[in-house]
Formats: sequence, structure tokens, C-alpha cells
Amino acid sequence: MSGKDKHTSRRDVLKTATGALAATGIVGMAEARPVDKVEVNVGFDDVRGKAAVERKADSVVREFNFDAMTVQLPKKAADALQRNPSIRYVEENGEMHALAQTTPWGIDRTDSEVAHANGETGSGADVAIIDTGIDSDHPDLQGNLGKGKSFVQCSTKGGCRFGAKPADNTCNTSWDDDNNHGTHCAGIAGGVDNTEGAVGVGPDVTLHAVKVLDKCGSGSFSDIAAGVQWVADQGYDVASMSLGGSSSSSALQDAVQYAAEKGVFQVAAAGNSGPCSDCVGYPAAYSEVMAVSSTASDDTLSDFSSTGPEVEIAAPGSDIYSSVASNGGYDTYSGTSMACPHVAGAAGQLMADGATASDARSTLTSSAEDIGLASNESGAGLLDVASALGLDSSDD
Amino acid sequence: MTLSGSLSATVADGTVEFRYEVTNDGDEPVELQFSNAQTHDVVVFEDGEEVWSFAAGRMFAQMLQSEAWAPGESSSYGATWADAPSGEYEARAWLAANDADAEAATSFSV
Repeated sequence: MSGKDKHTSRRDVLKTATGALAATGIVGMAEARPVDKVEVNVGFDDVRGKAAVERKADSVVREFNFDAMTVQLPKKAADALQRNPSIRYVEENGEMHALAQTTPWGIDRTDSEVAHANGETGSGADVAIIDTGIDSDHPDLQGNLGKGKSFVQCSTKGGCRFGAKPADNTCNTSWDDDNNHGTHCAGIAGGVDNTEGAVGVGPDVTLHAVKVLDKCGSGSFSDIAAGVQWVADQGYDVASMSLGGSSSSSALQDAVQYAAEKGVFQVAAAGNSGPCSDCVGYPAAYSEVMAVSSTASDDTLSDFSSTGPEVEIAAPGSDIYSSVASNGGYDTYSGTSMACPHVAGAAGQLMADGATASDARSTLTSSAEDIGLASNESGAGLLDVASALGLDSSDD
Repeated sequence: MTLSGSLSATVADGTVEFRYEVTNDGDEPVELQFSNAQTHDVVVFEDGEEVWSFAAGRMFAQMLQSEAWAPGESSSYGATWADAPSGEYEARAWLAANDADAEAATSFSV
């Protein structure tokens, strides 16, 4: 049998099957809503069919050597493909009805999901992400977005580093994310608990975007200080700063003092200068700011994490899955930047329940879990959200 | 490592525009690791004393990044020193990557 014959005979068989499926819709997907993302195997007749699949797909999981692909896409796009004459079949891949929301390891390890199960979701807390902005129409964040303020221009044009481009996003607002970093941090602190993406530490907190870093992830002392001042003047509960530098800024130090006097809980990334000792960057090193180091999923200190006497707490920062601005998608990033918003979300949880900033700071340290790291590596230990909220945190 | 760097400084009305260009001269792709969003620095010296630095007045997103360069690929980075006082200066630029610096230097006067 020649390859062509074999191909034709398979196609005929599958065509018959497709007809049967078409009458009842895609098998197994009846429960999926039109916007839910599903994973399907799609067979096509020709290059036009293949192009149609590629156009509709959010991501391609596998390309077969024969005329079929496994792709992820919204259910409504899968339904549309099924009506395309160049498509031989659309079948659900495996048992999955819709791609469920992921619980990232950092959420699980800090027992944030235990808090959610007990109704602790941070509702009412105002958490400001002082960063590159937040994607204003991300499906996993939109429902939690509050106000935004920009101190640098949002621009997705041009490049900035090593052939890399800014985020594939639209500057719908001045504080939209043109980099991806701010959207990732926002998702960690307060990703919406829904049917897709990743859930955050405080899935009902209100996220405020404060854009002080440009599309390349860099910002001036003055712009960052202005962002901190704005957060303080809004009366927000939490300021999350996944940014830093090795030199101190008097203006930024004044700004964090101003915010502390106004009762803002401030947290910052210790820095990624590791392995190193006594190398915590600014603003994390200021006494008004809680400095966060980073751990990996095996409870070791992340090799990049800065350490020093200023470190007060550790949180997950290696290989963290969260939302990004590009195409409203998701990605896995590493850094003390990712550890910081875990603590911000937790502080939001406590302040939603009435804690002051200083209450939240002392509760987070007193409830942290000892994971055997030195105090200059993890401060009081690993963030434990359930324990901080007075819940049973015996879950790993 | 096969990266080479070149640095130019253009002075107009007391403002110095730096352009730092880095090229992969080799036949193999080069992958660089960065500890944070800082990709490069430009530092200005006067009589051996540091008088200005691009990175010293800035802060950076604390996320690891890695970027691959194809053979022959180059990138260009800018930095602006506003209100530079008159004088004779030397500028040096380098990559802030963990495993490469591609240092370059130039002299200029304001």
C-alpha cells in the first residue's frame, strides 16, 4: 500500500466519524462554555484546513506527520472549525472537558488554597502593583482591576533588549503592561479564581496598576518614588514592589517613609544577585519595607536570591506560572520579583480582615514556616497564608 | 564567547546620547543570562573618577531573563546623559549579563 493510499483510506474512515460527531457537537465538550479553553485533536484535508486551525488555535500542542494537530483554543473556535469543510474532524483530547484553572505550586506551598477553601479571598483589600503596569483586559485579572496610574509611557513599539520585543499587548490605558512583568506579578497576588489560568494568593483583592517601569522593565528613582506616593495618597492597603537596584535613592526612601506613615504595607523583592551574602537591594533594604527572598519548590533557597539581615520572609519565586500581558496568556518566570507578590497577596488577605500594615507584617513573620534555611536566607521562614489567617496549615 | 561591543557618544546642547552596539561575531548562537531587567550599563569617567552611570539612577524588574543571539545578530542600546557639565570624559559600556560583558569605550568632550 502506498503512503497516499493509506492516507486516503484513513481519511475516508475519519470523515464518516466526523459526520457522526457533527450531529451532537464535539464529544465530551457539552459542558464547556463558549469562552472556555479546550484541548482538541483536529484533522484537516489540506493546507487551507491547516491554516484555519493555526488561525484559531491559542497554542499548538502537537503537529502530527499526518494531517492532524492537537491544539488549545476556546470552545467556540473549536465549534467553528467543525463547520469548516476543510476540517475532517474535531475531537476532544482525553477526558478533559475544559482546561481547568491551575493551582501554581507557590499557591499550594503557601497553603493559599486552604485559605480560599475557608472563604478567605482578600475581598475588599486594595493591592497596588508598582511595576510595568497590568494588562487591562486579561481574562484572569480584569475582574479584580481597580484604578491605574502611569508615570512612564506605555509603548509596545520598538525593541529593548537582545532581539526581544515588548509585550504583544495593546496600550488600551496609560497603565497597561507593555512588558509582561507587572501582569505576572499581579496574577500571583490576585489572579481571579475562575475556570482558566492560575489562581492568585488573594483571588478577590482589588488590584491597582501603578506603572513606573518602562517596556524594558526599568524605571527612574523619581518615577518609582512618585508611584509609591500615589499609592499612599490613595489610601491603599498594600504596595508590592518587584523591583530593585543596588544603590539607594533618598527620594524613594522618603517616599516609603511617607507611605509607611499613611499605613501602607510595603513589600519588595530582595534582589537576584545571588548566590551572595549581605546583598539585599533597595527598596527592599529600607526598614519600612518587608524584604522577600525566593525559594524553589523543594524548599531550597533559589540560587539567584539575594540574602542578608534585611530579609524578613521567603516565598516561592522559582518557576512560577502566572498571567502575562502578551495575548492575554500565561508564562513561567523566576525571580525574587515572583516571591514578592505572594507576600503582597497574603498581606491583602490579612488587611481585608481588618489588620493594620504593622499587624500584617508581624503576623506574616510569626506565622511563617521554618524550612531550615538560615535567617539571612529566609528571615522568619516560608510564607504560610493559612497559618497567618489562623487556619490549619498542616497541609503541605 | 564571541560578542564584540562598540560605543559612540553624540553631544548636542549639553546632552550626551550614547549608543552601545553589541554583535555576535561568531558562527554559533550565543545565549546570555541576565539576573534582572538590566541589560547594560554606560558609565562616564572624568580623570578616572566615575561621574555618571545609566544604571545608578534606575531600578529594575527582578526577574531572570535569557536571550539567544544568532550568528551575526546585533543589538543596539541607548542611554542619555542630560545636562552634562563641560569637560573631557571617557565612557565605558558593558552588558549586564552574567556570563559576558562585551565592554566598549569611547572618549568625548562636552
